[in-house]
Amino acid sequence: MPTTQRGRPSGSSILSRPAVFLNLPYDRKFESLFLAYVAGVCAFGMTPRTTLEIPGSQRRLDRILSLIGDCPYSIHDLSRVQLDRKQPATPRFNMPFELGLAVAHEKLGGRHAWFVFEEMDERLEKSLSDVKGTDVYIHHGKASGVFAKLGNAFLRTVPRPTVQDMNTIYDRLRSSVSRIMRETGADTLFEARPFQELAALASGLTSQVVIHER
Amino acid sequence: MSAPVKLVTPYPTMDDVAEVYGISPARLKQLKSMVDGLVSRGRKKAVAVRNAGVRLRASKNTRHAHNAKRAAERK
Repeated sequence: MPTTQRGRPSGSSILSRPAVFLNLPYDRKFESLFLAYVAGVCAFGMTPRTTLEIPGSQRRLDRILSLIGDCPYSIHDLSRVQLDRKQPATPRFNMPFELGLAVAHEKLGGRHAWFVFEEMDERLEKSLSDVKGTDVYIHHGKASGVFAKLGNAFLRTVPRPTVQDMNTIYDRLRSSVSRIMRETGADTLFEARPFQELAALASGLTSQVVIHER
Repeated sequence: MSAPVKLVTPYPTMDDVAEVYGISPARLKQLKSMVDGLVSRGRKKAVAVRNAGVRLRASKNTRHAHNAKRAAERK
């Protein structure tokens, strides 16, 4: 981890900057929390990365592994454990599977820290008892919950944005969503281009809110 | 026991993030101006909230002036 506060050490590359792999459900009901994660992660000076960025031509699993390998941190939100409405009704295995990949990467010597987030208290003990004994961050399905728990997860990062800072970035980001969607021609936030542009906006807002306004 | 290691995260600039994602310089320029707009709108909103009483008085004065003008015209 680079050690220069509020600035980049000279000669550092993009690769040396911290990135966070976000393993989140991609559904409309999750849009506001998705934005909250993007705003929160950027507020800590980190760059969010997701599987949305994976081009169709690449083998998905290889790219996911490479993304996890590139990111020193990963966040796995296991809030969607229920069956979906589309027939045939199935639970989603992608998120726990990607958590498994991150755990394996760390256990095999990769420099990686993973965090598990959930909406409901004690549900994970039933849905994924293998992670018993691990701290699970419960956000109660609220953006403010995500911000508070991100603050607990990234406890030793400097500088540390307040929940208020993250909320300000989130509010401003939300107000730009419709314009970004219009300009990118996207139907949903869960596409590569809107995600990347919103993350870029969030990082610009971070430099104004967390650094300049302090 | 050694002191806990403090992780110091450098803040990437918008240019850095754009480079990571491959956002074009032209689009980056638009996004930067969008950030400026969002920030200045946020500041104006904060000032409006802080000076809510002043604004209320100002509008009341305007209304009084308008009513007085109309009353004068009626005479």
